[in-house]
Amino acid sequence: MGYFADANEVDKYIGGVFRAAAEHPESGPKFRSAGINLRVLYTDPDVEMWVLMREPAMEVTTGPSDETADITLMMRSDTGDKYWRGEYNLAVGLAKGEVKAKGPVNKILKLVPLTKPLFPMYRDLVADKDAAQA
Amino acid sequence: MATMKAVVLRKPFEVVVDEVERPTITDPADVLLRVDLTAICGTDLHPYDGRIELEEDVVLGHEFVGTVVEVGSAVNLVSEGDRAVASCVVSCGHCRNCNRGRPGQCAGTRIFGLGLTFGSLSGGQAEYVVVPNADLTLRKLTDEGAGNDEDKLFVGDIMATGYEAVRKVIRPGDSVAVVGAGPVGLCAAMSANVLGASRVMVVDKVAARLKEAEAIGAVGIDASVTDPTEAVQDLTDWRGADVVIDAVGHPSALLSACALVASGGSISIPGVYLEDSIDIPFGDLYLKGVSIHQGVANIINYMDETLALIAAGKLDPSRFISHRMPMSEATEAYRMFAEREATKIVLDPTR
Repeated sequence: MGYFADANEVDKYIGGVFRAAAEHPESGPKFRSAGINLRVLYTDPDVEMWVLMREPAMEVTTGPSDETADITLMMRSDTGDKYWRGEYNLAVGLAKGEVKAKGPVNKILKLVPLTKPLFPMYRDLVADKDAAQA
Repeated sequence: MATMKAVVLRKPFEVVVDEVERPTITDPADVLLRVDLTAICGTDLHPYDGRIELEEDVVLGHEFVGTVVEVGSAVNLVSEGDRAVASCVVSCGHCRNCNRGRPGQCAGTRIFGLGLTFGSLSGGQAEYVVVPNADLTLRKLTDEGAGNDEDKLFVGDIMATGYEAVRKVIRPGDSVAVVGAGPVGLCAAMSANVLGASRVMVVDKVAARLKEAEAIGAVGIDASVTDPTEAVQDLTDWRGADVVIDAVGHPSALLSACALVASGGSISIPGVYLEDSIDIPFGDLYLKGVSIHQGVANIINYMDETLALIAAGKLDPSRFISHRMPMSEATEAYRMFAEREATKIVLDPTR
């Protein structure tokens, strides 16, 4: 059994951290100004998540979209959970094929460092769920 | 918690020497090195000036030699007490690109001291550093032949990078023009001599760097007083250079390289580019049949060759060191390097 019970939880927690990112004083403006459409295909449970990084507000949605993705990532939902906890090395995951990526590498490289300040926010988001499972 | 001194990039333009947690091996393929010498590389300036954006508090540095103090259980090629140099790029060794001889394009490329983006490897401008995939990443150093640790230090980056840039495109007898007489450009010029260039030309605007180039037998072309295109044409019977190395990584350098290259020639780009797009005279390059080679250097493919050539006395990149400083003065060292007051700075982590 994976960490997330269903697609709604993936949206609540991983989608939630992206939504919180929009409000983060340092990362928020950088995400919004990136002008990148990120599509993440999570599996087990399966969720298609879209993060539209644009002004004036970042949009985070799940399900199919008519938008065109600049970057598409594919990974297990559990991998997404570990990444946002700061416990998963994305480079190693790409080497192992556990994470797949499509899109301009330079854009991916610009996004990655923006996520690190958000790791504590994610851990806060899942704290109650962790406590309930303990 | 054991600690160590390290060069930490707090944020762009803010480098400090601080006490940080000493890294430990976490994987059977890891090695813990005590760093004996470390250098500041041009690539370090990208996060320093914010061109590559990193998270806060990253331990910098990817050029280092050291002494093995601990080995993981899966490491076979080095032992405690061995001295070794590390490739600045860590590859996995088993992905499609690694199997095709392109470790620089490994799906899981990691680079020391470039933060989360490049695999969260703590840098080598520190008293200690953990080297992953050590059997692949490290080369054991011996005292045989010519060259000292300061020469071999550069095999992990600038020497192998400059060497590869020339090696993968040159034919014996080719004329070679190098744009940019920084450390990688000078190593490329030195490599071109060893790899059979008939003439090596180096373009820059900094007199001291051109003097270094001339000292290894290259023709220095001062772009602040001479049109480099005219100068290279004059030196090549109006053909242009068979091989042009862009050792800068700036659109203006790439444009210059495009103007210098001969019909049927090659442009090789060890300089780092992250721009979304660059305008280049593509029709001219097409009609001239110019080949362009680029990408993160395949360092491990060339470490053995460059170490052998150092031992043979044919490469001596330590001659490009302009400053040797204690690591405790890293803040000033970065300022000097960024402002081109130094060609190459080596830091001593014990001081």
